[in-house]
Amino acid sequence: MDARCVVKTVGVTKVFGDFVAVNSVDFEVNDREAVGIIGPNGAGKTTFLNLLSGLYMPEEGSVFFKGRDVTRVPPQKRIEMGMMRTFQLVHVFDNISVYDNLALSYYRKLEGRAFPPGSVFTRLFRKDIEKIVGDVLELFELDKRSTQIVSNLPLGSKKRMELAMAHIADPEVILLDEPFAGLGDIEIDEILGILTHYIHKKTIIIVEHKITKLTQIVDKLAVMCDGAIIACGGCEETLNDPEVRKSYWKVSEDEQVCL
Amino acid sequence: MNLTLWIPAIIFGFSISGIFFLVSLGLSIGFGLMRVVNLEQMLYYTVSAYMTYTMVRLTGMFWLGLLSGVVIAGIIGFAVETQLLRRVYGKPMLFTMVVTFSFFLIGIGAVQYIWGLAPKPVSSPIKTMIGIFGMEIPLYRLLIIATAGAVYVLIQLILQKTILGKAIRAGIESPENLEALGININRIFTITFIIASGCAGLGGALNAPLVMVGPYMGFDMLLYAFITVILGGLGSIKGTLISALIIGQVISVGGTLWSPLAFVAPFVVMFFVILIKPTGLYGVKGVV
Amino acid sequence: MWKKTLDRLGPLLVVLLVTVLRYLFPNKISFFTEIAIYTIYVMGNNILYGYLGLVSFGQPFYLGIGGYATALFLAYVGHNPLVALLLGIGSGLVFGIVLGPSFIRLKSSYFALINAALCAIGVFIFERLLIDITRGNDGLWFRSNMSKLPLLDVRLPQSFFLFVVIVLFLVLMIYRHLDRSTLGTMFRGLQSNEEKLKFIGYDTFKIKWVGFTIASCFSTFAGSLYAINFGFVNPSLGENSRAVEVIVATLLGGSGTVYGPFFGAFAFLGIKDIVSRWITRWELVVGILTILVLFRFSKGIWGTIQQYLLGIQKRVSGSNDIRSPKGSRSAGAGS
Repeated sequence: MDARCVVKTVGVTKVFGDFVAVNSVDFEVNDREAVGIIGPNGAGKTTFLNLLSGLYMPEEGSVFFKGRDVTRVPPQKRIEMGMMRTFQLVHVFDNISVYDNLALSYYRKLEGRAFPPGSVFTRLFRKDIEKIVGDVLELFELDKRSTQIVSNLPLGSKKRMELAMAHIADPEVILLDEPFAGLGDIEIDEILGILTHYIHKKTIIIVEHKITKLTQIVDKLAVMCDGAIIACGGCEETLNDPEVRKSYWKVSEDEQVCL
Repeated sequence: MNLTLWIPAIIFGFSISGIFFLVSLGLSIGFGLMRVVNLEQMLYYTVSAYMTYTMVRLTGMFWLGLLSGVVIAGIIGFAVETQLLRRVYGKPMLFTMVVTFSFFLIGIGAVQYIWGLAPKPVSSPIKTMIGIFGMEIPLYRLLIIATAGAVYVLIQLILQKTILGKAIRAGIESPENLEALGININRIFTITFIIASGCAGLGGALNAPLVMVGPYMGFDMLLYAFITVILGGLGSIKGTLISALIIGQVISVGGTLWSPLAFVAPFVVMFFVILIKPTGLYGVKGVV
Repeated sequence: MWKKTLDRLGPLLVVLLVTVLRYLFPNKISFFTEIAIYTIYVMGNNILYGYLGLVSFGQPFYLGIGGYATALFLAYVGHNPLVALLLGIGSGLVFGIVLGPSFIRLKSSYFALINAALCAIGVFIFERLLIDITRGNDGLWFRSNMSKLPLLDVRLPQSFFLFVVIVLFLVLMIYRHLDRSTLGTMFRGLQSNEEKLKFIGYDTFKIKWVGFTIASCFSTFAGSLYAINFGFVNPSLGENSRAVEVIVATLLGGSGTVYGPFFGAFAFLGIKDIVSRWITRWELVVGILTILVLFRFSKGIWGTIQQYLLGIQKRVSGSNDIRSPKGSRSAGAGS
């Protein structure tokens, strides 16, 4: 296996009842590469991400992370190995403060264990945690909201916060499930601005609809259609791939694709 | 093998199963379809038993009592579904459970006001004994088994053959299905609920001659209904039947072996099944 | 400001309130003793309901376990009430650790039901299966077996009240610490979004297990205190039909808060005390009360007080903010 390869899948298949959501996908992402996965609704993008992050177990095939077969490894272990994800519908802790959300994520990183027994005797308000969390809050422009309860936050801030929770755990690989969904242009640009910090520093896999925004940051683009990856490569060449044009854009050879 | 001991035990077991099946049905189907653990089902069971008692006292006709019990259970079920449960659909499971349990308590309180605290006896409508393999078996027990069996067949027919049944099955599979099909969910829920509470009422009326009718009879039955639905899996009618059959036999046969087993054994069985399969034998997956 | 001071002095204020009230109403001593004990019981349920988001219809079971652990020790083995109390806590620890793994992996609906079933089996065990040692419904009496403690004679109601108040103070301190600890935040996170907690790398199973065990320790401890208070136990301590009482007390006080259990226990027992003078059918009242609280008073007493204090705080700090309108506006624009 290529030493640079961080995430790799071999023939992964996920079936729901009669419906094949992900159909024998081979996929590779190299270290510190930013890869976008696009495709129409129901193409299996999110399911594929769920397979990568360990929310689902595939029926067939294997998932490799840093050269290790993690197909049967539960999400917590993958996170310990350095993989973090966000969700399409924001997954945050609504009933506690912004600070607590980030501190919880950082605490796990700090202690490095799935359940730190010492957690009964520690507090999240501790000098070292406060320092790091404060820095990250500033970076994500959330410092003014530090003590607010998350449920009172607007969607844009919640999305930023979820990203911040992934960031603070300092993973090697970040999986983002539609980070722009439901946001306005300004908010998208804010998140794009944050994401550009990561380019070539971390490995990023982004599942998205909004291709225009995506092509600004990714090195590689994969197109999913009916559970299979039909093309993968540089942005330009992928989008002009005849197969992609036919089944994804539904245009003929000579028409121009407008981005 | 002492047949004179075992055959009556097995038949008694089946009759217990019949009652358990009837009273647990609402708990299970309510969860499958509406995602509500409606603990107040046992209220219909209690009220129906009391109605039977009252009608027997007034008219002497057990079957009229049974009928009125089922009808009143259906009516209360209708009122509860439209007035109370509709406000809790979609709320967290712990919220709805506490609401329905509280309503059950209110109902018990009301029952105490109407009928008093003292347990009331209801005499069995059929005292005939019939001989099976030379053993004397009360015909009434066989009748309970037949009724429960008939209810199961009837429900399966409704589920398989009618539009209502198809809608219910689609709803149990996934609530979004119903919305996608453009079916009036409220009506489906209400009809299902009336049927379920009617069944609980039927169970109560049938059980009235076998136990003392008292305000807390619902509490005792709630425990068995819990065990039945946990073992069978919430949301599955087939699971409810099978687990009722198992629990009935465990109680009756186990109790014949060693009397404390009648109480302890169902719990032990349930506990082991849950250890191996946390959603029961046929539980609906993927829901809270 | 308000909040900070209250937070710092909270346990002390609570204990002072109970003590002052006890001396204001000297003939109500058993009532205030029960409030202190019931608070600990409600705390246990609050960990499940308010922090972990689990509802259990079987809390009386744990009360019964604690009560019988204490009673059996004092009746047959030893004489020291303190050891008996420690045994009560220990029994909760054992039951929490043993039952935990199989219970907490159940979904919330099954969890509630299996606890109710457990509760029924508990009563059966106390009442009939172990009748030779528990004496069944006659109750197990042991007051005469208790020895006098060096400073406080817990056999006397007056000194037992003081003992319970001291215990309540310590338990409140522990509880407040738990609430503020990292574990407390994990509990809240778990209730809000279990999946996310998994996806930032926590083993939610273990967190729940610990929570469940702590909760059962609180409950069994309350059971032990009850036993010593009465001087005897009988199976009614673990009765199934009273399972919802502790839930309504939790809700009434304000679930998921530190001082909610105290206010809940106070309000619930107060209502019970008043109502039972007029009405003997207690279930009706409990049921109506629960539904009213659920639909109309979901924050509970302490939750409402907190909100009110927060409102004052906001008004005070709001007037300060006038000096820096820019800061508040930029925070708003960030959204």
